[in-house]
Amino acid sequence: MKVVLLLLLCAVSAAACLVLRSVLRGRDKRLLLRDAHGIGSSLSEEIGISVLCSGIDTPERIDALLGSEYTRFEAIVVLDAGGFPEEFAQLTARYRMIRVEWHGSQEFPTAGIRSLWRSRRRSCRRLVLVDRPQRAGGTASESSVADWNAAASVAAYDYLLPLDARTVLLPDAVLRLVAELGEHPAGAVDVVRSHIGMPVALIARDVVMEAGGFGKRLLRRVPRRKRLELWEPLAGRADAAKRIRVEKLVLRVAVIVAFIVTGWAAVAGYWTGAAVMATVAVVAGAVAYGRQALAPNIEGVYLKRRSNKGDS
Amino acid sequence: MIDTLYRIYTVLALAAACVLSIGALFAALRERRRRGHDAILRAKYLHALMLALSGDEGRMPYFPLFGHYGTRLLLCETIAGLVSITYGLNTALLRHAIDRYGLDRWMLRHVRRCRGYRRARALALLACLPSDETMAAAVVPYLRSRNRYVRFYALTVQLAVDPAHALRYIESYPGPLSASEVAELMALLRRGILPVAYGPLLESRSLNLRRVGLAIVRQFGIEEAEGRLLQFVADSSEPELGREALYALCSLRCSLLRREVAVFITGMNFRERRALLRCVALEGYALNTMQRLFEDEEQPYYETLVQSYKRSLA
Amino acid sequence: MHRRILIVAEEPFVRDVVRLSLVGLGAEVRCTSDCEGMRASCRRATFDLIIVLQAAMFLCGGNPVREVRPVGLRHPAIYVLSWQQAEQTVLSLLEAGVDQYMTFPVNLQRLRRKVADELDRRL
Repeated sequence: MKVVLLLLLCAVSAAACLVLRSVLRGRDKRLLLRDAHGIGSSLSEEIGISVLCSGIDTPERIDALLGSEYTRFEAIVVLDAGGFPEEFAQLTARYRMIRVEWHGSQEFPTAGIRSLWRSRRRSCRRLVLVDRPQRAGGTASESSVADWNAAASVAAYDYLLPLDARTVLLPDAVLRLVAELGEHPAGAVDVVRSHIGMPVALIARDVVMEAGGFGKRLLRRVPRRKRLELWEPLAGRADAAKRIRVEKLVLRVAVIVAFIVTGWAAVAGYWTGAAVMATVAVVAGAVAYGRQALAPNIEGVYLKRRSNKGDS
Repeated sequence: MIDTLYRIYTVLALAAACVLSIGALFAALRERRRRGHDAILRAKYLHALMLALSGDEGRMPYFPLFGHYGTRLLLCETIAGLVSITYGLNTALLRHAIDRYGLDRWMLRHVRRCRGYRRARALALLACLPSDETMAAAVVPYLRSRNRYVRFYALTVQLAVDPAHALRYIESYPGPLSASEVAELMALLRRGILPVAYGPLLESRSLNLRRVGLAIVRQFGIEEAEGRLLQFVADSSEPELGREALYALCSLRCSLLRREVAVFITGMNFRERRALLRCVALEGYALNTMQRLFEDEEQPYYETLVQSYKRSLA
Repeated sequence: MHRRILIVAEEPFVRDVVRLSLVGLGAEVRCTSDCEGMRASCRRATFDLIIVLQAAMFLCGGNPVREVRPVGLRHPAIYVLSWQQAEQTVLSLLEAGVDQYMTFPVNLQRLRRKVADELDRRL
């Protein structure tokens, strides 16, 4: 039993160190590609991304999405005009949207799209508003899936990025995904996903279509060779600013407590307990290091707000 | 025995935790320094550079605190940043300053010390430093790196320091260039490093050169290249290049009602045809074009595409 | 007459490059980092020229040109510099009321000449 526990602790420590290594490599890659301006400006011919938004109804969130300068990109916002008339009216007025004719593609299990809206302004053409009634009694997850399917049926591009109300894309996430796709031959990658920060996945349209729409087991259908894992944040939480401080504090306390308890257990001769707490210290230390390395990315939006005060 | 193993593990894990915690602390300090000290010094270096570049005397700029920890990299980043967003600078003065402060040689040593993406970034910086042609030979070992970014940025160094032989360097580049890499080469072209003459590139036997040529045709909307693009589409030995040429024809909005295009489309699989249909619909081609190019069973799909995209344009 | 230029850029480095390239034109150059700052600066002072170093600001829902330029006037002039060169982006910006669009990499001497000409025209 003790041997198994020891092996388990070794595995946990090794996994923490390996994940940290991947995160640091991801950070370095992001830093390298930050200055690769050609990707954003010249690679806009083939790789297109449709962001499918469920539960995103504020102009601030939509403006942030449209803030990406990448041209082959669109944000499809699904909203119930009947349930949220004020929000809907606010969006149609702000983006000068008009109702347009639409024919469903029949590729996705789409139900109940009332109407499709696009902007009269050329600068907002990348925004598509879908009016779809929310079904009473469904869970939030079911509602999101139905919204994403509806949005996918009007999407114009080959890659779909579903987002829900809790998830905020980081400012350079679209370009980062485009760079990653552009690194491989066309059609070689079906899924690009990241578990750092808020988990998001960019999925090839055909994969979603073949699976009959978005669902729980969607990504499992994709063979490993066609999946790409990124060890860097692409999205954060909508309430990130508050959580960042709390998480930092919790991590620091966890590291200190783990060191103290390990020392105490070792002195008292409880070596099993000491080993467990040392493992906790390794994991907490790795998380703290990783977080610190990614701080400019994760805290990007938050820090930007503070630094903007220093205008000259 | 097992207790001894536990003791050993605890000591090792504690040591690892110490290293990681110190690493986190250093990362925090480095980030603070980057936002404070480095930002101020970078602004000073930029000011000195811009003053020297705007003056007529060609006086050597003075960089305060140069030689202190981290200042060489900071100065390299400043010069590289300036060079990457501009063209037509007084490169003689920049080269003189780089020689005087030994920045290119230092950067080459930095490249040697780094690994992985850090090495690639160091090479990317080196590519932006106006330097002499000896650098092209110095980065040759990095063209054999396992990391494709290291290989590519080594190529950009060669292109930047010896643009006269740009085509030869691209031709001899090991492995095919990715779409991202070709896009980066387009950025170099906009800085005036690569030749814009697309003809020799399209006629070349090298796949990489032809891909760069195709990218130039697309980027600058060169309709005169239509005939050559159709030849690529017809050439079955390079299907990937044919696909790119077909997309280039679409982006140029050339007529797709050609025998070469029809033959190529029949060889495409279901996914590729659908992707092409979406692209064709987005580019605004008429329903008539699609009817003649695609099979009858795909008719409902392309009709919905055309009707959705074209009619939705306000 | 006192002339004023406002530079709007998120990236401090690019902002400094453009600011320093305009030294000696006899105009007061101020900087800000975003659309909100641009609006605030325009409320506090009148500018002859606004140079925006990103296209994203014009591709969101707002209409920054309308906010800083009274209806019917062509003052202040608005120049945009960005990496984007797609036709759609350029048309969007021109439709939004931008006077001049340039792409990076930029020739600083050319930019300086254009700015000097613009300021002379507005004297």
